[in-house]
Order: sequence, then structure tokens, then C-alpha cells
Amino acid sequence: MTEDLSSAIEAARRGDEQAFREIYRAIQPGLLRYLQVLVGADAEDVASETWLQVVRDLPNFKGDGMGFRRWTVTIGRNRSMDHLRHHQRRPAVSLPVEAMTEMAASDDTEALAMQALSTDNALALIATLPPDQAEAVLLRAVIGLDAESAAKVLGKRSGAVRTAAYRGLRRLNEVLGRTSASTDG
Amino acid sequence: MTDHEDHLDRETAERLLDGAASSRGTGPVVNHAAGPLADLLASAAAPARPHELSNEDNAVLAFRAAVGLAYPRPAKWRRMFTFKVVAAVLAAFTVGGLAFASSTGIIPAPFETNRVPAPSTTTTTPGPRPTTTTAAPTPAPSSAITDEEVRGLCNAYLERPSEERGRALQSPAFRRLVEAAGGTENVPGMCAQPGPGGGGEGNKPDKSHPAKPSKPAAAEPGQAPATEHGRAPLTGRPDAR
Repeated sequence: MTEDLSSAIEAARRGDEQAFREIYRAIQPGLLRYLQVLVGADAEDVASETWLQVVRDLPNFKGDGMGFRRWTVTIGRNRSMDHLRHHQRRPAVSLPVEAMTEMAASDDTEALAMQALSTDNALALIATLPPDQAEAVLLRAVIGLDAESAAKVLGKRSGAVRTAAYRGLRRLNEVLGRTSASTDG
Repeated sequence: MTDHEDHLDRETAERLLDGAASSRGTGPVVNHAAGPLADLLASAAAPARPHELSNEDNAVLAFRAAVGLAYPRPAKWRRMFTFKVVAAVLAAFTVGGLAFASSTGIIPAPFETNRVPAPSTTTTTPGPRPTTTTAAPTPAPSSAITDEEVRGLCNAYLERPSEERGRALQSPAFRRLVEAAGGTENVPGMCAQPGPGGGGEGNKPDKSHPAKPSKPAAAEPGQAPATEHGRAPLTGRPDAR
């Protein structure tokens, strides 16, 4: 699984700055990518707010590395919802403005899939999924949460999250299959 | 061809979801059973790109500030503070309780061992105030105001038309009522209270129950830090612009 952060978290709770850097480097990329799908271009701002709250509440945190990932992502998700509410917007995951312009037609989606899959392209493809599927895939595959932890973040049963992630992967697989079929044919 | 799109079972999906994040840092793991999909997930979970960590130093600054402010001393201090307050409140209750118990004869007073505890039905009930026996021409000291006097003055005050009441309190006739209320602004409230205790409680010279005033005084400091402590983790929520 993902690297275990338990000892780094313990050290950071005692004020160890290097340990905090280790945690930040392990979590920030995935967090930012997840937030990018939720709030689009404001992801960096929301991530900063998330870390402010994390460092403030770290002395009160209790749990292991997986628990810490879950805690951080939950804060990030709540911040995103606040942000979207504040700006009267729907989650970017259902209306990814940038992605929508890029993928107005399914041909464009396939074109995107055909490109050498950069991280941004991969995220843009995941962002075309229905919101519950996109979030489930991101929490599992990008943040590195297990099904139970992802379910806690989303406030759902783990079975529902497993199913959503599975459906999301099937959809992505279809898009990729169509792409490879069109290149083959 | 398109054969792989039909073969994504749940087990494979679970394996892909678990494998994507663990491949971070070691590069994409090529999965021949579901190649393109595994590549997609590996790309989504690829190692950090430089711009994704560009705010690291800001986060560390925030961490440093939080460490300086909050870790771990205030937590300890707050706990100690709460503990001390609880101890003080307990002590106040204990002392007040002992004083009350000994004054009412429930237990003997600790330092007057030879005093015989008397049942409350005997002649120790306080009689009428001695001031009533002497017909003094001058008004009694302001501390000796009685319930009857307060009620009488309040009645007189309330009989005035409401627009005259404010001016009436300036007259010497109501001086003792104003003193009893602790200021002209408190008179309407005190006189509005129903019952024989109609205000002036703080001015009554009756000190036969010393535990009575100490009780609410002790309860208040116990509540204040408790609510402050309970609210602490919720404060300072930075607002999204």
C-alpha cells in the first residue's frame, strides 16, 4: 500500500518540521489532484486552507497513517464544499469547465485518451465520470485510501463506494477500449 | 481489439484501485490484463510534479507558527487550568457545604466543639429586628431596609404615572429605594419582581445562611472555563474569500 506515515505523524505532532515535510510531500500531490477535480482552478487555494487546518488541529489528531490521509482528505473535501457553496457553484466534478470545453464530443474524449496519458489527461478523463464514481476512483487510486476509509470520507457504505469505483473503472475502460478499437480498425 | 473491456471484473478493479496508489514513486506498474486502464490510473497517481509542491514552504511556515503557538504547551496549560478551576470549585463547595452544615447544626462546627448542637425548633429562631422597638425619628441606616419598606416604596413608585417615575426617583423620598436597587436604572426591574422578596436581596442584612451566596459564586467560575474549553477547537475557521 501507500507508504506508512505513522512515525512521521507522531514526530510532527511533537513539532518535528522535517517529519511534517515528509507528510506534506506524501499527501499534497494526491490531495491537490482530488481537489482539482472538485473545485477546478481553485484547488491550490483550497489545499492551502486544508493544510492550515491540518497544522492547527494536528495536536488533537489520533490515528495511524491511513487515518491521517482520511482526515486530511475529509478536511479538504469539506473545504471544497464550503468553497463551492460560497461561490454558488456546483461541484466541478459534474461540470468540469475546462474538461467540458475539451471534451464536448466523445471523439474529443477518445482523442484525449489516445494521447500519451499525462497526469492531467488522466485526471481530466476521470473528471468526466459521474461525481460519485469520480470521487470513489480518486480516493482509492490517487489518494490511496482503502474502500472503508473512502466510504468514511464520502459518508457512504463501503459497498456503495466499491460499486461506484468499479462502475467508474468500467466506464474508463470502455472509453479506452473504444480508443484502442478505433486505432486498431 | 476490444476484448479487455468485457473482462473487467470486480476483483481486477479492486486490484487496480489498490495498485495505482502503491505504484506512486516507483513508476507505473504495467498490468497486461488491463493495460490501458492500469496506465491511466498510474498516470493519475504519478509521482509529485514540481508545481504540486510549490507551496510546501508556506505550509511549513504555517506548521512552524502552529508549533510555536499551540504545541504542546497550551494544551497542557489549558488542561491544568481546567483542573485547577475544578479543584477550586470543589474546594469552595466543600468549605461552603461544611460552613452551611455546621451553621445549621447538621454537623458540629469544627472549632467550637463544646457548643451543643440545638434542634432548629428551639428558641434560637431569630426574632423581629430590634430596630422596630425603638421609634427613631431619623431614618435607620440604609443597610437596614426591610422587605416591607421596599414593598411600600415600590408601591408608591408604581402608583406614579409612568412619565413621572423617573423624576420621582430623584426626590429624597425614594433615596433608600434607589440605594436598595443599586441605582435608579434598577428600580423598575426590582419593583416589577413579584413576591415578598421583591428585590433588595443584596441589601438585606440577613446573614444567617452564609452558604447561600457562596453557592452561585462557586458555580460560575466552574462553568466559564468549561464552555471556553469546549468551544476552543471550533474557533478560528478561516473563511473562503
